[in-house]
Amino acid sequence: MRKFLAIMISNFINKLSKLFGKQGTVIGGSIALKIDPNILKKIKYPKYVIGVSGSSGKGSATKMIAGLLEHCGYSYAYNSEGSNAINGIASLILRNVNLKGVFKKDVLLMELDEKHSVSILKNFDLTHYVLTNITRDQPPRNAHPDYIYNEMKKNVKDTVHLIVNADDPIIYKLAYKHNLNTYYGINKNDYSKSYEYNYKDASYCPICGKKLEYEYYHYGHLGKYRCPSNDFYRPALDVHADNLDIDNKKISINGNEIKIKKNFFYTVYAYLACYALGVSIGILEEKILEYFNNIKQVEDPLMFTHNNRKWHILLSKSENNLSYKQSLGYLSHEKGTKTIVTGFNHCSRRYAENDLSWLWDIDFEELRDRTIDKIVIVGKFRYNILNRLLYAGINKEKCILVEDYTDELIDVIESQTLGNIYPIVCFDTSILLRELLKGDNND
Amino acid sequence: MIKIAHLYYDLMNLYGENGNIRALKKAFERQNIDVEVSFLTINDEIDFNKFDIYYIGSGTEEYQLLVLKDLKKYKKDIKEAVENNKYFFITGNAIELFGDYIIDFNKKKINTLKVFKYYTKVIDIENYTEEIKFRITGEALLKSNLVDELIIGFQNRCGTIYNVDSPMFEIIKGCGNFPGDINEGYTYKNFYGTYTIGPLFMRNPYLTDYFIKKILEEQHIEFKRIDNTPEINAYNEYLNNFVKEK
Repeated sequence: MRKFLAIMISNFINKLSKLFGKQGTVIGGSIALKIDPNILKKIKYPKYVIGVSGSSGKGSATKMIAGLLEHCGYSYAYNSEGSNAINGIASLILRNVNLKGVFKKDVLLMELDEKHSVSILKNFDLTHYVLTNITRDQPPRNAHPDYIYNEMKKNVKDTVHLIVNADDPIIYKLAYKHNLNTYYGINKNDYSKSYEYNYKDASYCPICGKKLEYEYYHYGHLGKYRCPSNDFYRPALDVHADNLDIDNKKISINGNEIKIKKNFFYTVYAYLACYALGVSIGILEEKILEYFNNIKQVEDPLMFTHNNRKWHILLSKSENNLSYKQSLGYLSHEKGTKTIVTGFNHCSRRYAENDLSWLWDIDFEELRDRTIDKIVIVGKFRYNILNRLLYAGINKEKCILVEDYTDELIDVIESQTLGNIYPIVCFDTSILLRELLKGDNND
Repeated sequence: MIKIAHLYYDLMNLYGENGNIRALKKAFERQNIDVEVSFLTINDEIDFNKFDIYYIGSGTEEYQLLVLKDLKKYKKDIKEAVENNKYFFITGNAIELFGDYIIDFNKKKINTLKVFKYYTKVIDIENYTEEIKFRITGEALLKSNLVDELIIGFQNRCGTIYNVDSPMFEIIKGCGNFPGDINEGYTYKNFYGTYTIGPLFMRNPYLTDYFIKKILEEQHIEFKRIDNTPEINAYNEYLNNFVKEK
C-alpha cells in the first residue's frame, strides 16, 4: 500500500510541479522517499540498469548512450536533466513504473553523482557501471580524488559489469580485482605527450608503492602507465581509439573510422564509453558505427560571430584543473591570432567559499604563445589570476584587467584586442557573456 | 645561495602547494638572491643538513602514510635539523606527520615522527557538527605575531590536532587546530606548521617577506622592501571584496 501511495503521489507531485513551471524532476522523488524510504528497494528493475559516473564526462557519455539505445530501438528512461542525486533518481524511476512497481522500459540509464551515489545504489544493483575518470574537482566538496575513489568503490558489487576507462589509473584501481570488465582507452597518437608540465594524481602503484612510469600521457594522469615491478599497468584495451585527428573530427575505434561531433580530445572518451557499453549489452558493432555516423552535426551555440570577430567560448569548470587544461590544449591547436578572456567572481555555484589553490595546478604556461594577442582577466579574482599568469612567464603587457562582466568588458575586448576571442570560463559566466553580447549586432 | 627542498612534491601536492615554492623562490629572487629548489620524494636520499628550507604540503590520507613511512628513516636527522634552526615550512595535513601520533578513521593509532608532542585525531561521524561534515573546509582569516597584516588562507582537511603549546596563528575566521580552538598551527624555533592552504605564501606576501627578511638577516644580507608586487594587489583585492565590507 505504501509503495502504491509513494508511486502515485510522487508522479502526481511531479506533474503538479511541472504545471507550475518547475522541472518536476526532483520533488516527487523526495516526497516518495518520505512516504516510503524503502520504495526503491521494492521496484522490479529491467534487464539493464546502467549507471554512468566519474568526475567529468558522465553527462555527455550518458547522453550518447541514450542516443545509441534510441537508435537500436530500446525503450529506456534516463535523467536527461542531469538530476543525479537520490531525489532526482527516485523521481526518474517512479515516473517509469506501473502502479505495481514494475519498471516499464527495457533500460534504466542513469548519470550518477560520483560522490552521492552510494545512498542510491544501496537500494538496487546496477547491471552495468560506466566509469569515466576520477580527477581533482571541487576540492571543498569532494576532498580529493582518493576520497571519490573510495565512495565509488562502494558501488562496485560483484555482479556488476564495469565499463572502464583504462587510461585512468584511479578508475582502473576500481576494476583490477573485479571479474567482469570491458576496458576502453586511447592509444598513442599525435596528441600524446611524453611529459606533463604540472603535478598529477595517482603517481604511485597501489600495490607495491613504486612510482608509476608513463609511456605517454593524454592529459593529467590519463595515459599509458606501468609500475616498474609490473604489479599494475594499463590493461589490454577491448575498445580502443587510434589515428586521432581531432582537428578534423576523425578517429578510428577498433579499426573503424568514424566522424566525431566536436573537436575536443575528451569527446573521444564519450564515444569510447558508449561503444564499450553498447558492445557489452550485445549491440552489434555495425549498429554502433551506424549510430555514430548518423549523429547530426548541430551548430555549436558557443561558437558565433559578433561585430566581425569570431568568438568561441571554451567551457571550463572552476576548481577543476584538467577542465582548464582541456581548453588550453584546444587553444594550442587553433590557428591565427587569439584573445583570451578569463576570470570569475565566485569559484563555485554550490558554496560561498572561494578556494584558489587549484589555479596553481593549471598549466597556464601553455599560454606563452606568440599567437595570443591579449589575455583579458575579469572579476574579483583578476589579480590572483594575473599573478598566476605572471608566474607562468606570461608578459604583463599582454594582460588587461577588467573589474566585472559588464558592457565595459565587451568594449575593451573589441577595441583593445585582436584576433578570434576565446573565453575560458565556467558555464554560468558563459551565460553572462552571451547576455552581454545579446542585443548588439549579432551577425 | 638559498637551498630549498620541496619534499614529496609528487605525493603531497593536493592543493596548489607548488605555489608556495614558487612564491618563496620569487621572493628571494626579488632580493637578488640565487635560489636552488630540489624536488625530492620517496627513495631519494634526503639530506637534512644540506638545505636552508624544507617544505611539505597536503596529501591524501593514503599518500600521507606512504610519506610517513619514508620520513621515519630520517626521524633523528629531522629532530636535529629542527633543533639546529633549519627552516621547516609545513602546510596542510603534513603538520600531522611531525606530531606524536594520528588516530585515524578506524580509530587506529599510527605513530608519527614524534618530533613534537601534539597529536592528531581524524574527525569522525560522532564529531560532525553543522559546520564540520565530512571534512573541515572553508576560508580562513588568521592573525599572527609575526606580521601586522591579516593572513588569508583556506582549509581542507580531515584531521584535528591537540596538545599544541605554541600555535602559529590565532583564528579570526575558520577552524582552529580543532573545532572550537582559537589557535591554529604549531611553531617551534624555525619550524612553522599550519593546516592552512592557499597557497599560503602566494596569497600572503607580507608573511612571505617576513620569512625572507628573517632568513636574509641571519645570513647578514640586507632585505629590501618591495611593495608593488602583483601578490600584494591580489591580497588587497581579496580583503576589499571579502573582508572589509563585512
